[in-house]
Amino acid sequence: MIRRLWSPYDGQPMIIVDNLTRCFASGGKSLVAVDRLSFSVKEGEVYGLLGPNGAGKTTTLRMILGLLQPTSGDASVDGFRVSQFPDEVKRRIGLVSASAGLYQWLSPREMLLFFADLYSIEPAVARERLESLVDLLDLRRFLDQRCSTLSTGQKQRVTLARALMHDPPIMLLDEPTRGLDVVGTHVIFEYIGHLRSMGKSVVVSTHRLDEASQICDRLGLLHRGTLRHEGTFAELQQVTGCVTLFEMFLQLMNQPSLMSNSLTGGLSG
Amino acid sequence: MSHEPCTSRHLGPLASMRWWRMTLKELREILRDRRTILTLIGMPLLIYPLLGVTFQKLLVSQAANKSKIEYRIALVSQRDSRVFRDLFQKSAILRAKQEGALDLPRQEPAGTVDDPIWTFLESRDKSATVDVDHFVANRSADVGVRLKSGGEEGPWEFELTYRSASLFSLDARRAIEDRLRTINDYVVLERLHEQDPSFVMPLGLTLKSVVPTDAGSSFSMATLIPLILILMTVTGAVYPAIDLTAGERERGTLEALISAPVPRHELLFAKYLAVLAVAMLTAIANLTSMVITAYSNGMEQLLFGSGGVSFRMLILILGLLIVFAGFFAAVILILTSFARSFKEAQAYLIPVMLVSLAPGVLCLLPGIEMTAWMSVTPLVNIVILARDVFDGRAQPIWVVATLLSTVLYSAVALALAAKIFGTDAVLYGSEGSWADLIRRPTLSRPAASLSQAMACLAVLFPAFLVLSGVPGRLMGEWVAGRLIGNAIITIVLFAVMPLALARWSSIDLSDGFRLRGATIASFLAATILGLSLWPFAIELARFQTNSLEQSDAIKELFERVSASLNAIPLPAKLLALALIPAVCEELFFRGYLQSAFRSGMSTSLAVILSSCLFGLFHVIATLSFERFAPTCFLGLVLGWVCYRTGSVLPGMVLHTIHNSLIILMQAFVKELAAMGIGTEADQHVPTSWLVGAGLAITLAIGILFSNAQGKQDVAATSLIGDNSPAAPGA
Ligand SMILES: Nc1ncnc2c1ncn2[C@@H]1O[C@H](COP(=O)(O)OP(=O)(O)OP(=O)(O)O)[C@@H](O)[C@H]1O
Ligand SMILES: [Mg+2]
Repeated sequence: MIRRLWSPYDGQPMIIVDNLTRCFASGGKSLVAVDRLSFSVKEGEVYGLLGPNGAGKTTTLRMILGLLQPTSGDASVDGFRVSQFPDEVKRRIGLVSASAGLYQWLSPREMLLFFADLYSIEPAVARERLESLVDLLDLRRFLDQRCSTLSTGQKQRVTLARALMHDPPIMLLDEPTRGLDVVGTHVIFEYIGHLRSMGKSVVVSTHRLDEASQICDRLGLLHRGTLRHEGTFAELQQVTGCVTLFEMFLQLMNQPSLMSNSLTGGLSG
Repeated sequence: MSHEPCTSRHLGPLASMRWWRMTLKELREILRDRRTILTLIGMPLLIYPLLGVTFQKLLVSQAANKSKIEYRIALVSQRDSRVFRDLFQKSAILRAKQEGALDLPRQEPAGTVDDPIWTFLESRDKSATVDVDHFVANRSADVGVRLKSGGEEGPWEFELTYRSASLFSLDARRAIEDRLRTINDYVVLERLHEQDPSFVMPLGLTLKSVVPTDAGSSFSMATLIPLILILMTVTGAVYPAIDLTAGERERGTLEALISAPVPRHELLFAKYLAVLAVAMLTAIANLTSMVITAYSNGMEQLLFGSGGVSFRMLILILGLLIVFAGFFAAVILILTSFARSFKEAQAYLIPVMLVSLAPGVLCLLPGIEMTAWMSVTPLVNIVILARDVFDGRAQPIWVVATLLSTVLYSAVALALAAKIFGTDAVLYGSEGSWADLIRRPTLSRPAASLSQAMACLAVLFPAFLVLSGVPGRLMGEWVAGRLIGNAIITIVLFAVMPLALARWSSIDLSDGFRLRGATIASFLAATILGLSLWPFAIELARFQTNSLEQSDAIKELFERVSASLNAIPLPAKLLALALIPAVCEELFFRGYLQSAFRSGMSTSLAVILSSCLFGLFHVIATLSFERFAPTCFLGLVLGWVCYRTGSVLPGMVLHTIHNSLIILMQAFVKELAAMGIGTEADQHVPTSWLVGAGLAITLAIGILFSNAQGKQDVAATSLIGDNSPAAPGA
């Protein structure tokens, strides 16, 4: 596969999240799931969006893709404002979500070609890409089996292939390792390595902290909708005084006094 | 951003046919599911033959139960028998001649009163004589015959024995008398003719039998067939519609679908076509199975009318079913797009099925004919048209009106469904769910959620349908009692119930019912509107009458006011028919329903939808479709007034004044007639009145527009809705 130079504007970040806020009304209460969140991801960068359950990671990724309307703020992808050019944004992003399902009555091959069609990929190109993805993710064995008969790991690999069918420059991975065993998890992180080698910008949200600290170029620590720390793993270790991400998490959740916006602002600048 | 993004669209010839490939994919998915095939297509192939067999058994056993009329005649001797049967035979020929038949019909007697079966009982012994009196007395025979005198050539004298206490024996005797009298009459006539050829009998009778046109015979199986077919088609559409929308959401494939750069309406259109295709497949399977069953059981005349099944009729029926399925698939898709799971979709669909079944059954009642307004009432029009097609009396103009309006409604419904499908509220389910109905919210909310309003309607509609008939049954002719009963039902259903529901779910009364103050100017405008709307309401009612039936419809405007009402004192009448309905209906339709609708859709749509429901309820209350347009019109005005003023109170004033005026007009009908206003079809409201009312309405609208309070109403629900538009980024 040829590596494609997607953005003619080198140095420009691929994803810019700008003061993104989202409120939910649930049971009469208003809950701020994402609170004036700002960060950016450069071309070819793997960005880890980490945080405890309910921190707002999924909500943020959905807003970047334009699936969820922000209450205020906006994001832009490869120079396109999400609110203005939703289709251009969608064309440039591949989404892998833990909750993604497959069409039970279709085979992986049918499903992958269907999605290629949705992204207006020429049939010949789509078939070619399908072949390379089948080799990459080892789908051959169950390519023509009905999706409902696949195992969780097999399903996840089909989902990974689905997100790459239109060869997007940006990948959003939301807990891609959920429900996978050691081998399955290994496949995912190999996949992320492959994405990086292809020069794609990746935002990954995961609870696999060890792997994340190894593979991510930069990390953002999210808690209650705001970015508490941001930087490379080494920078985070320095700022928090913790050795592992796990310790940082504990600190994050136990010491609310440390988590002031000014600190985050100072870090991310 | 430092650069202008270019929106290059990769729309080649490929993209243009994509909807078709998407449809195929949806169909492939549905049809690979064996359950679908089994329930939608296999079932009818099985069920109709079974039904057919049962039905035929029923017919046969019914026919067997209905005993044929058979008269048993006992004859004294073989000679008596020979003479008597000879005469009987002659009389049969004479009767046949009288009725115009050229020769004696040689068929089996039908066993009816007109054509009974005669059985002659005689001794086998040539010389024996039978005691016929004995046989009649012990019921072995119905009539006994003895030849008292007379040789081979006559004249003869017969003695008839019968049981005077038995109606059957009596009937048999009379039938014999009739038969024998024919011979006497004939001979007498011949003789008279011989003497005076110009002689004619003073009386002549011709017999002619007709089929009754009333309920008894026209409500046959044939009337039910369209309804059955329509129900089957609906069943065919429901499962794939749920599966392709709510099901996709439930299985987690919707997110990936919405992540693709495909317009949501294109996605939905492919799904719509797939649902339509499956519905038609079901319809064809049903129709085929039905026709084959009917044909093999010899019941096609019974089921498909006297003409039997014709190719043209099948094509017509299929065409109608396509239009109908097209409409219903779109309506179902609105609801299923809204639902987030299979179960929720089913819960939404049940009230819709109920609502749609009611007019369907109503239309099958005998005596209901297609009118202009029916031909544009969704669902009703198709059911009646299907019936008329079956009967072969469909008129082209109604065919066109029905088809056009249905296609239009389908398009509107589809557009609506496309708006709802895949919105983030549905995709991620942040809006209140059905579980909210059971779990009592703790914090105050500005308005009822859409789903709560739907639930409320789903309870209210059948309750209203059932209860509205009760006062009439309980109170009989006691008009005052009926008035009180109706008032109580109105208060309970339209005020107490929504208020209680709102209280229970902590809805703020001032927001959720728009129960709050309004400016003096608002009340002024409402009063003016209340005083000036009636001429247009009357003209609207007349306009629709002009198109078809005369004058009856206009009187419908005064539906609740009948002659016997005049005995009720005017203040009581105003209270029961003007004030109470106005206040309660405003509270429910404008206060509760419109506010709830506005939390989930645009204001104009909310106003239109709640007025349509307002109209629908009045149609049901009075069982006259003609009520729909004037009531809807009033509802639109009231809805707009509520939106502009931000309160239901001005609407209550308007509504009360409007109702009161119509009741007053009824009370002073003679005085009004003198002024040229009345309910006769040819009486138009004088132009000067119309112009004056028009000016007044313009003034009122002007006042409302300059009234700034309406703007307050806009933001009331935007906080809770998840569809609030995204604010542009910095
Ligand atoms: N559709 C919704 N309606 C109401 N509240 C929501 C909705 N989606 C998310 N939330 C709330 O927003 C907050 C953030 O949720 P989000 O799914 O973004 O968290 P997360 O960081 O992805 O958590 P996890 O690690 O568990 O996946 C949570 O408190 C959640 O309850
Ligand atoms: Mg999540």
